[in-house]
Amino acid sequence: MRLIQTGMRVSALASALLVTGTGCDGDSSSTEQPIVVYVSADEGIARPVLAEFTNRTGLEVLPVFDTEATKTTGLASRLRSERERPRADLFWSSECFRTIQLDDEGLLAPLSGEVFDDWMSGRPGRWKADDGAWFGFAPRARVIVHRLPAGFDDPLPASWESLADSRWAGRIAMADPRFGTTSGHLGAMHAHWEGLGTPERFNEWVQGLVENRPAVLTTGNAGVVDAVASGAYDIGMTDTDDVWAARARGLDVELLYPRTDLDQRVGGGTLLVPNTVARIKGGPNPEGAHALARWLLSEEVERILTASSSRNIPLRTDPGSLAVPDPLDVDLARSSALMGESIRLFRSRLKEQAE
Amino acid sequence: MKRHVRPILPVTGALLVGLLCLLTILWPGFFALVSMIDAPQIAPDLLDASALGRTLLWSLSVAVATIPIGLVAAHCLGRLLKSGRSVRLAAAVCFVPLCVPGYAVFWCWWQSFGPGSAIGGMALENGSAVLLRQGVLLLALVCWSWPLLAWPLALTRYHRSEAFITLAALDGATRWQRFALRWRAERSALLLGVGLIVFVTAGATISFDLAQVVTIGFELRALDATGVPPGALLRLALPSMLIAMLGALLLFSMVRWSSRRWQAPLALRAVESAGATSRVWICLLLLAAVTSLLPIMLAFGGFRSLDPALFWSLHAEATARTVLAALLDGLLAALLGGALFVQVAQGGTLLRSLGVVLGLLWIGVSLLPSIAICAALTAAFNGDLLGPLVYDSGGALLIGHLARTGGIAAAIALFLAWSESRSSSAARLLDPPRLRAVAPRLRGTMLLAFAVAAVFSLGELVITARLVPPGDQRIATTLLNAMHYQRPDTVLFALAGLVICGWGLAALVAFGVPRIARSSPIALLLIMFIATPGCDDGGSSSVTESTIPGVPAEVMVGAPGRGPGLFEFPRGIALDAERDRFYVVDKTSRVQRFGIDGTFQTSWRLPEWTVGKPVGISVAPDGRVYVPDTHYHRILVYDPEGNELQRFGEFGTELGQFVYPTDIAFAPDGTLYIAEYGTNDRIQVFDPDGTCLRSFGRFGREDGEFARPQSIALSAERNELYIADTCNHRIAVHDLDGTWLRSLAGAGTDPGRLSYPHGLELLPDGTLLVSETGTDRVQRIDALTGKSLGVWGGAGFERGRLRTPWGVTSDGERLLVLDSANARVQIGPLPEALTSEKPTDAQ
Repeated sequence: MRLIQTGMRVSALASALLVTGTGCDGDSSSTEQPIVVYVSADEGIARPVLAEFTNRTGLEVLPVFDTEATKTTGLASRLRSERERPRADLFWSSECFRTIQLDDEGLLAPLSGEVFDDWMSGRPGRWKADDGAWFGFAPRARVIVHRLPAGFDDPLPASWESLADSRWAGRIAMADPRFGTTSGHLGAMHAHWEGLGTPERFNEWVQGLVENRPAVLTTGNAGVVDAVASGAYDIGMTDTDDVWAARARGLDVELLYPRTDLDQRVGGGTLLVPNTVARIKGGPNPEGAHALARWLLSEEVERILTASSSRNIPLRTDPGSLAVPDPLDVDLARSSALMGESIRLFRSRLKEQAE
Repeated sequence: MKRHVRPILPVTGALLVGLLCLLTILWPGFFALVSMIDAPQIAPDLLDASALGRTLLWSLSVAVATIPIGLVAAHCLGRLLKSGRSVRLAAAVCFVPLCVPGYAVFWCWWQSFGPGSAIGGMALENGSAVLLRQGVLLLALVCWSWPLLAWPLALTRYHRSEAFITLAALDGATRWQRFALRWRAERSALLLGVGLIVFVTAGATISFDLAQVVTIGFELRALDATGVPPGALLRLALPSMLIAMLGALLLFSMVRWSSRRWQAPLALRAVESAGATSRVWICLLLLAAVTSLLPIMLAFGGFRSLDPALFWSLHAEATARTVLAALLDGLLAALLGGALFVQVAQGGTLLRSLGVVLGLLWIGVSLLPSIAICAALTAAFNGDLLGPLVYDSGGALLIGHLARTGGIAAAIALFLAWSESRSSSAARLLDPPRLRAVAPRLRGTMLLAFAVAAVFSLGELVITARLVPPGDQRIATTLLNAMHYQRPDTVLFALAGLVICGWGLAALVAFGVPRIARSSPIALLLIMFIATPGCDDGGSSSVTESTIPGVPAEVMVGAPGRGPGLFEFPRGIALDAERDRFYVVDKTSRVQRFGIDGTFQTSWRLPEWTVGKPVGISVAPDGRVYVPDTHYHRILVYDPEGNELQRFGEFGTELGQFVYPTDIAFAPDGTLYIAEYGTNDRIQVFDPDGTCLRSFGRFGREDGEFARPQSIALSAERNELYIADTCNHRIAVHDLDGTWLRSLAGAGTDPGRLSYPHGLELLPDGTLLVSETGTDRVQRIDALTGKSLGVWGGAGFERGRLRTPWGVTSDGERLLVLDSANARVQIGPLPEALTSEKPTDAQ
């Protein structure tokens, strides 16, 4: 009898906890189906944007955020693993390369409608998939962060190619190239030089960079900025948003927009990495996905992202001080395709160097 | 009759264990195997093979480094256990270090010893920064994991070894002989503790990431990020899985070995039971405080800008969901532990053997890389049939946590069951097993499993981030992101939340659960339901963002940037109404002057800014600009073109000295009233030449005391000073001699209440405008009664919406709001007060 009573108590606890733990979702059974969006942009910036969308439309949004600090989530990996039964309607990525990979793998579905047609015609965006599966907006730039000591006489690196110069040996920090924009950056450089018919320059550059023994950090691009700010390294390869965020919290770091190569050819400048929005094929709420995608591509969201701590570069208004001198003209799809090969090359060179 | 019923216990236990095993191990394991068979070949050079060895070496180093501190703790715990008093309290104290995740402990220590500190600076100069970082990692993991060593050792001492040593001493054994005896009696428990730490540390991959140490967990996540299919990932993870299984065997044998030595306490216990002295208690408390609270206190010692209301408003739901999930995880682990205990302690040979195999399997699974667990669970539970039921509802996350913590529950259950079956084997021959006979150890198993699983669940990240259902939030994710983006206030509150949750859980286990659950589990559940915020999404505030009208904003001045007319988090605004211009000071330490129409006129920079930036600015009636150079503890006086005319003040607490000056009010006779916070939190009165006359106020919560007086306004007609007492959430009113008269408003978000009032302006009609950073709004209040006469703003990026408005000013016709986080000034006509009732003059 005692056992039965105990069992009943435990069952009561378990079932009620189950209800309590998951019951909040039950309240969402409103007339509108919620929109599920996977977001790899900074939660602190993305959450108000999504809240504003809900305020205006009354449509509930259920986000899943990335934990960027250590890449624990891997939202792209999660989308792959959910391929058979997608949970997400929309993917808002803070970069484009993994979105393109997902498109190549057939996980995305085209967005259609006026806003998207405008984008397809090149007005106002310049980044999009050929079939409208993803659209780029509010980019960041790939930059060099530095905090060189007062009285530093050496010229600062004017291009990524300069980092292969031996005077930077032991002074460079970068994020692990298997994650985030660093992987796309390698792919873009590879694609750029391939487009110029000189793919061997990428190999040479990687060799030179690796010989300079860059510190490959596990804490991402923000960790690179922190490492430079602390004085552990002189320069770092990172993104503009991480530099702005570091400045906002009082770190004394500077950034420069390096050209990709030393040639002065127009279009050989700084890599821009757009946010992307993409609809997930088979997502449960395609109408909601379209509505939210329209909002994310709006001028208003662009303004919000520009005013946010990540200072994304506006496409439709004057970027002012955020203007990038000469954006790199590179095929993002090709960059994404070359990403894996570029990472492998970098790692194998790194391994050889270590041996 | 009863004897026929009794075998139902172990059978029920076996069924429950089997069911949980099916859900957590067998079903996902099947899918994992299938995916491994189908997976394409991946070049093994993608994985840094040395990471596995590095992970094990590090884990072993942490375990060895923990031994000294574990011995001290075990000594204290053992004596408390022997005393028979406060055992549960001691258990709760020993949970404290485990409550704060290892990665958070590292982060806190790194704030104290990192590059910004004296030690960190020296390490950078000597080129030993990497060594320092790794040293801090070791320190952090030792601080986090010592209870895992202390408990097995303490239990062994309590049950066996101490009695042995005492008997040996009575027999005249030498010190060396006693040491040898102690080693023989305690080595199994020591190895068990070391084993536990090795495996728990190896799984603490986030700590290693933050310390730039590449572990096997990081490598697998990196592969996952590059798009390697789950099956291929699992195949590449095979070596680590095999090592995990070997480790499980090792741990398993240590559990078995330890349990043999853990028998009923010897009769000598009574002789020794006077052990729990206050000295032992102090030692134990100190240990817990130094290892878990000290790093948090050191990291946040100088941090004063805390905003618990804001944190709660943002993360209440995440906190509640985290606690509930931890309770649920704990409950499942308790069920598993209890069922396995009953199966092994009371079952026949077959059931016992089966239980042992399942327990071993569970230990092995809990040691697998988290990313492998996630891949298997997604494959198993995101199908058409089980997806809506298990994956979408968060069930997969629950199972994932059980896979991680079930090993601990299994180890505890096997340890206690074996010791139980040994101690009662003779009795079993005479009398078949009865629940009552094993009830104390069954309860102990369940409580321990509950507590350990719940505490680990609080800080678990990798599985949570991968399997959390859309829209769900967990405080550990918030914590990690806040650490990443350097939001110390959020980190502090999240850590505090985890510590409090952990203590609460420990206390619940130690004192509450048995009693409450026995009397009324329904009451407990009701409490949980009531305490769950966020479900109705309604919020308690009667004024929500959508119901507040925006501030009138005909002109928007500024945007983020460092150029002319741009701002980086502006924190001070002052209007020179006579000359139709206003000044703004921001976090570039620039003062910028604008025409009232928003046109940029001129700017200048303060002489120094590296230590900190000003938080206020004021314009004297004659047009001179006063800048409280907050972090340089002085007042700088400029002409409108930026030429410095005067400076006064220095760091200190004497009259005429400042800690952090914030704002200045001017009396018609030229007297200055200067507010400051930091240590002094007072108002100082200066004559026009900068000579200090007197001061009033001090830090505190009582009438006449201040907690960060951020802004100050003066009414010559009423002979009154109005002071925005920011952290007391009120407007303090004093006469010009400093005598406290009254306080207006108080903490809250309803109209008439204030949440972090930062900006303050006295309007010509005698009412007050207050900008609140806690609620992102501007409020007009009656200067006599504090009654709200209107609320405008609300959080947002839109025109008219505000984010952290630090300042507000007006000439009675135009309203200028410093919208700090949006890096702009919004200018528009001053809105009418909501009521026609004008304030009564105080005089």
